[in-house]
Amino acid sequence: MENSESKRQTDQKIEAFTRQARAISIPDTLRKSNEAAIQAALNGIEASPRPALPWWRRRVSVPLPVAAAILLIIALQVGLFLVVRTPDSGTTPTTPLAPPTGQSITEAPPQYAQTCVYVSGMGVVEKNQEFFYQENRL
Amino acid sequence: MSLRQEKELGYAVLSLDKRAVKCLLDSYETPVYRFFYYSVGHVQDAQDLCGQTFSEFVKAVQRKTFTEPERLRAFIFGIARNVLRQTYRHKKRHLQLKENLDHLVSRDADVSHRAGIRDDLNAVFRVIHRFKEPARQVMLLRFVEGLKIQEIAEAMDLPINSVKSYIYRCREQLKEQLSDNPHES
Repeated sequence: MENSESKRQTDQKIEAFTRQARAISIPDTLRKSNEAAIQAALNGIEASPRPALPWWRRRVSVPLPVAAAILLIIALQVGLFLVVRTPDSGTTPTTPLAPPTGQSITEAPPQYAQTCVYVSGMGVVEKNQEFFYQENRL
Repeated sequence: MSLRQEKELGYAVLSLDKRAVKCLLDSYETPVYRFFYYSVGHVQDAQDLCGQTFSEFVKAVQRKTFTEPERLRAFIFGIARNVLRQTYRHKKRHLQLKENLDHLVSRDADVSHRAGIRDDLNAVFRVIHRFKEPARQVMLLRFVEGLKIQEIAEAMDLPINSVKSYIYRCREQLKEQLSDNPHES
């Protein structure tokens, strides 16, 4: 904490410094150049307004929370779409395989069963597919 | 300039007539020039920036963005600060001390007095040069131009507490530098 004497001395030094800083003289041409700048600005009153931007260069400001919510919804929709679509995509056979050659023609074709779990509003969240052979009941 | 005079001038310049413009230049030409000169360290640049500031002020009055005539001083120094910021962005110019300071010394003074003033100005430049932005601008506005804290906050677009903090640190730095170099005081 400064005591009052040192504070007074500091104030005096700063005052002397600012007095020196204010002592510069201004150039003779300063007034003319400022008047010319002001006159030029006054003459530019009728300057044409900015041309309107084409539609593809226009910008719309959106509040950050709204933008984040929209992005989150889009990301969730895409993620759900991919999760639901993946089990059906290609690798799982949807039709029973043809019986191998040499097997009895009387053998029954493989049975196919599928169970799905739905959640309202979201779609399929779990899907099981099973293939099995039923015993021949002769 | 008293607060009342400044307020009256603020309302007068809204008309942009010759008398008001002359009063405006009489009051603010030297402070704005000084602010630029100590910021860029070059006479011609400071003069150009000064003209640009008054030009921008006239445009602001025309566009009616100058809505508070009682805050004329803060508004003008706010424009000056923006003009300076754009200049730094374009030119990346820094404070130079190489320039001959003779032209800054009044020609009316005798030779020995002029030499003394030149030495003083050199010392002032050295002290100002040690401040970094934005502390330098705050220091110039507060200690050289005598703006109030509220005016500096408006001109610099800073919170009042930040301005107070800058002023305190500037004062401490000035105290330290002026104590280190007694010649400079």
